[in-house]
Amino acid sequence: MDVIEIKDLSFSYNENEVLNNISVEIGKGEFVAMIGPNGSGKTTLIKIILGLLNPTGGSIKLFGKDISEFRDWNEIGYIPQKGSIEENFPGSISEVISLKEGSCSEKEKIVKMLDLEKLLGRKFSNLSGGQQQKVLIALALTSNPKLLILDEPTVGVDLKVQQSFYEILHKLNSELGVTIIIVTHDVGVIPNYVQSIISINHNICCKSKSEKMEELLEQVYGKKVQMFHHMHK
Amino acid sequence: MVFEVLTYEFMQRAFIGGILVALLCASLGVFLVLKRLSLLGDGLAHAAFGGVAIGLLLGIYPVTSALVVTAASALGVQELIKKLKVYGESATAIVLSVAMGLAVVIIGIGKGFNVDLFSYLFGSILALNNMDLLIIGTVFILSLAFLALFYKKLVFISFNSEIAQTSGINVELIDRLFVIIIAMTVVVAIRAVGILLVSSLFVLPAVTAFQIASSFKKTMIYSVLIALFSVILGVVTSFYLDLPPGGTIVLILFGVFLISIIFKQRKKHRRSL
Repeated sequence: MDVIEIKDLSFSYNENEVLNNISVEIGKGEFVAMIGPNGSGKTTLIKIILGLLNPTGGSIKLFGKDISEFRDWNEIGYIPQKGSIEENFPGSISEVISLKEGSCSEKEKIVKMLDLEKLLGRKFSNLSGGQQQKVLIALALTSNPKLLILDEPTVGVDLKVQQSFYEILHKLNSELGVTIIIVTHDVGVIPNYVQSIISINHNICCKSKSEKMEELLEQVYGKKVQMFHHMHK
Repeated sequence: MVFEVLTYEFMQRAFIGGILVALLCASLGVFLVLKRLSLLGDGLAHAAFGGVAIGLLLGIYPVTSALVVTAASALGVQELIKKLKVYGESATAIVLSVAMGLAVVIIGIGKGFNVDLFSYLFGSILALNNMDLLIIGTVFILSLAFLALFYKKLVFISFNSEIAQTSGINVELIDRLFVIIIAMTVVVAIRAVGILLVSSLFVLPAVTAFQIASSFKKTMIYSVLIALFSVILGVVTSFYLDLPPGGTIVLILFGVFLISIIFKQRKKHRRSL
């Protein structure tokens, strides 16, 4: 059973067509990157998958159920774009992590895994960008999700923190079997970690192995691209 | 000194009303500020002014008409933000100006009640009657029940409404109930500090608490304590120095805010040494 099945999906904001007739499937345990130019519809697609927006056409199935009948939202962990998080939130890290339901022992395990033990008493707003991202991952994982969706999680985060961030995701995927979808512009880094790439640009939606990155980039950006791989992993 | 003033019945009512209003505004204010709706209290207070004017014109108890008009305005602001994607401050400004326009027209029609309106503009905590206390008490119980039921969900929505929604929280319903509770609180608070000063009771304790608290729980506790301290000290001071109580409370709140900034700066300075 696929975790996500999208068929002939369309979405318009007023009269502006953002997504047109796109279809894609994401299987259990996959680590997928979603790429595409700004305004291509990546975040819109994520919001439709999460039930935050209603499609104007087509269908979506989550874990085999039509999205209108899907109720197990705790099976999905979501990390939105950093700008949408309240940066002056006065809560401590332990308060943020306890926002979602979940067992205490599970939360302790996650805190330990993400090396957040020493930060628990600190205020969320006083943390660095990388530390805040770790807290958001911890929050997303507290309900023990089977699917983790991240929307541009490494924006404004330095390369070193990015690397450890991707390694955490890699560990979650390979050791715990969590299906991961990450929306990103880090096209130079991501092929080292993900298995497949979904490229989106309004009516184009292609999924292929990460090795075929250059072809995909040319298709969605409309320009020839040459990748220089660096030793990130 | 406090015990002496309590021998007067009107002062007892002022303390009871003031304490309940302080508890309400300070706890709800934390969420209001985090939602970037600090001026909503002000906008709704102006809507309440329109409601009071309608009540005086029609000869019904002004607080009742103000409750209806303010609740409807709060939902109007919510719809403008959610459905028409109008910015929060613009939606508040629209409601504020329309309600004021309505109030001015009604004042023009009913020339005789300008004096009554004056007490709503600047508040009259020392003139609270038993009916006022009954309404304040009812709103206090309703708001307390709302906070007890939805506290954790409100905190989650304040952190990020999209994560909250994808975790199964009905954000739209809670947001609607929240603005109705704010509307009711505004109406009862204007009896204490007046329409022109009501937003200070929502915003100043919360913003002061943000400066010094290290967790959300502490922010709520500090916000409430700051509001209680300011209201009690404001009522006592205004009684002995014969000052307007609404303005005195606001100036004390601002004084506490300044102290919190100095405290924060000194703490920061000590850390950097």
